[in-house]
Amino acid sequence: MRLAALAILLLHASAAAAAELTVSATLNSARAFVGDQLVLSVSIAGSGSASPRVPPIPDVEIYESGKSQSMSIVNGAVSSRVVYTYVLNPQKAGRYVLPPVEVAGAAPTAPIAFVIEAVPADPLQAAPPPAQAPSAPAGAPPPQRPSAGPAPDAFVTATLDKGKAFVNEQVTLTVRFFTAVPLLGAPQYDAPKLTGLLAENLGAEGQGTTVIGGRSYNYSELKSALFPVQAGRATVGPAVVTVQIPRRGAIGSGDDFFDRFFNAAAPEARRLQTDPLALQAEPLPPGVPEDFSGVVGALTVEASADRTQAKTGEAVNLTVVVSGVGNIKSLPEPKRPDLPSVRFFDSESSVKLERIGEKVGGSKTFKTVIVARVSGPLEIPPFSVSYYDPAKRAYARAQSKPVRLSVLPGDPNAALPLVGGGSTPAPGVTEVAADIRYLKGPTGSSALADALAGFGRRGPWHAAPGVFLLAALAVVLRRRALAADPRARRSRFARETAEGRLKQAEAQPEAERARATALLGEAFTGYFADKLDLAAASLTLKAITQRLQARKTPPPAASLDGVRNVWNELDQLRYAPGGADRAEIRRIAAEIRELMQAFDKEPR
Amino acid sequence: MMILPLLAAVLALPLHAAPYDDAKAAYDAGDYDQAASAFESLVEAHPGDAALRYDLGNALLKAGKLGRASASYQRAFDLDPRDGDGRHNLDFALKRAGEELAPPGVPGPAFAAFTALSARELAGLHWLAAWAAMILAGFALLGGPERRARLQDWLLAAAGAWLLFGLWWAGLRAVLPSGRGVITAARAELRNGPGEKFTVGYTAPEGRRVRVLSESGDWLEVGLLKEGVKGWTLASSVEKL
Repeated sequence: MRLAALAILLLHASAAAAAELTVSATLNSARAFVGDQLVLSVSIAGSGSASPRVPPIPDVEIYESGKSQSMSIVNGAVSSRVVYTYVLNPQKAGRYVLPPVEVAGAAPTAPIAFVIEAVPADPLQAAPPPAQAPSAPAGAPPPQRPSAGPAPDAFVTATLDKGKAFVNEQVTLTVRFFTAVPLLGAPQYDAPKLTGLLAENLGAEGQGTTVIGGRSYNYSELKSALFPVQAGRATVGPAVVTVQIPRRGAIGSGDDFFDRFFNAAAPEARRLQTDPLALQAEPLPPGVPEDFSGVVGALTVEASADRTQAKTGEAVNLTVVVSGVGNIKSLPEPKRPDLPSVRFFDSESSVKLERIGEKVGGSKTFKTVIVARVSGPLEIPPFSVSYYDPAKRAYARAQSKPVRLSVLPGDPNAALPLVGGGSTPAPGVTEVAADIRYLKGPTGSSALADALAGFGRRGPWHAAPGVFLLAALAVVLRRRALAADPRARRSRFARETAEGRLKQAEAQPEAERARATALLGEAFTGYFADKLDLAAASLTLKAITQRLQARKTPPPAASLDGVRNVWNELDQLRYAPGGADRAEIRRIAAEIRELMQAFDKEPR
Repeated sequence: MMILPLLAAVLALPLHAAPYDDAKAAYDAGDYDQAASAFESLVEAHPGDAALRYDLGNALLKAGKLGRASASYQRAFDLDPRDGDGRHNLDFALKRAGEELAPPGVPGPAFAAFTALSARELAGLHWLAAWAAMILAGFALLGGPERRARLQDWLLAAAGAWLLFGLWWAGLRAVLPSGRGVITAARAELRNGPGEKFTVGYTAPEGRRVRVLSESGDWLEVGLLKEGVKGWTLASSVEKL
């Protein structure tokens, strides 16, 4: 009966506890840049062992980063609290909403909105690398307690190996506990509260003895790898160690046996804590590769298949292992190659962390099932992952070797294995593999293209049409200038007109001697009338000689005499019966030509 | 006289065909290095044959020489941009290096139309139109009003063609500038100066197109067209186009 009552009581208590299960979810920041990491903390208070289910968010990689548990008993009431930590790795800028986180037996959390902004592009301005604080050399003695005064019985220190680091670059936190007196019971350690940092325990604790201020201390140290999740100031809160030590002065101070006995049995509780620490997290330098994994460290990639030969439609296990040093846990899956001839199914990942010297590292394994759609040799191109190498201060890329498979024809009617989702391809022509097209064979060069290219390379010859156009333009301008100045036009064409008349005169038959003589006269007077801008009809020898002598440079006397001679000869012939004979006409025409030539040469 | 070129072409065919058959046989047998070597000899003998450069690109790509294959495809594309197979294979090789033939944001058909004529063809058309426009303008000037009226339409057409082909040519030269190259090293390191003592700022994958900006000894300063960054790399890591 008493047992039944106890069982009822326990059931009632557990039901009450389940009813009191509360879940809360918080994000460390509501705004971040692409490449930053956000930390989601899901806190489950109450009893029970249910795990939260964080729903997926498109374009955001979500990784579980660990959990911490605390339990307290207040006035006999036991309460526990488990905090699950997740890392959110957004791939694109945009506004996101984290749907309610569900825990069996508890009300879901409220949705959480957050904004991811694109990284401001400034590829030419290189960010300076963060200054590396000098780290203590290996084997160096533990640091002195900073406070002055008498050496205490016990104290605790916390140090970071650097004051500045890139986002996701490891910073090592060392917490050392020193004691100079024997401890009464095991010390209780409360890890520091981290803001903007993810922590991975580096495992093994160091121990030793040292002398500080003339007093001998035993010390033990605990190291943790911290990773800044986003640029800015990150903080490490106080680390607390609660110890029970003998009350000061009790040991060996009393003379009375009972006094020593009872004092030794009365321990003193001490709460020792470190000073808070700050860390400046710097953004990674510009030039982030497209396939950047977010890891700051060093990585290698290996890809392998569980066989080298398969049939179409058969499942082949493909394993991609990314290993190295850095925050491996947050590593996203390497981008799968775009191979229409292969169907990829959803992959599963597992993380194996290990301590590599003072660094945290390990490997992350991605296992997926692939199915070849077509037969023939199949090469899955290398998987690659980019990371930032702090030693070289440059981005680097790790790449696997290609995976080669020989695919044999399988059963064409066999359905694809039911490994995951996927849509059935529509009937019709379906591209199954992207590849280069086959050889073309020599076609020779295109005659038209070659002719055009050859013409285009003519270089200086291309000035020819321009020269022609300029010449045409010059001719037109000259014509216009002459048309606008009748006097210049008459002068320009005087000899040409006279020459025409002289030729006409010379061509006249013997019977037309008078006509020939008249033409000689017209040529002679017309020439001087045009040259001197006078009216031909009223032209006199006196007028000609006066105008010629009025020039800036008068013609020589011989030329003037020649003009007079021809004028007089033509005057005589005009009244001579029948005019001049052919020989005379040719002679006078020749004289007129000489005169015209002489006057054209003389400056006006 | 017309028979002579025809005769020469007929006589040249067997000389051309025999080495080609050897290269093709090596390619079909999967001996891509041998095929590439044979195609290279053919390309040296017939540098204006876009199809041979395309075939050389195929052999180099199959032999795992992505950078040199990309360079060969690019040369084939420069010679015959209207060849669909050439475009496809160049785009295929560029995608392997994280690039695409059409610049980002430009629809494929628009880029195909823009590059339908090669730069050398556009240069020829541009100068042809320029000659026609200037000669027609000269005759129109020298002639009377009647001749001007008769030539007006032809002159406008020639001047319009001159402007069109000139702008098109200039645009194509901006998109496909001279001094281009392709990364042929497996992973070229771009340093901040011409020497090993300078730090590596970026790495560029094989097959990525670059623009050669300057030279200093064995080093080339190259700009990555897609990312808009630049750095110095060994000249042996780049094949100039």
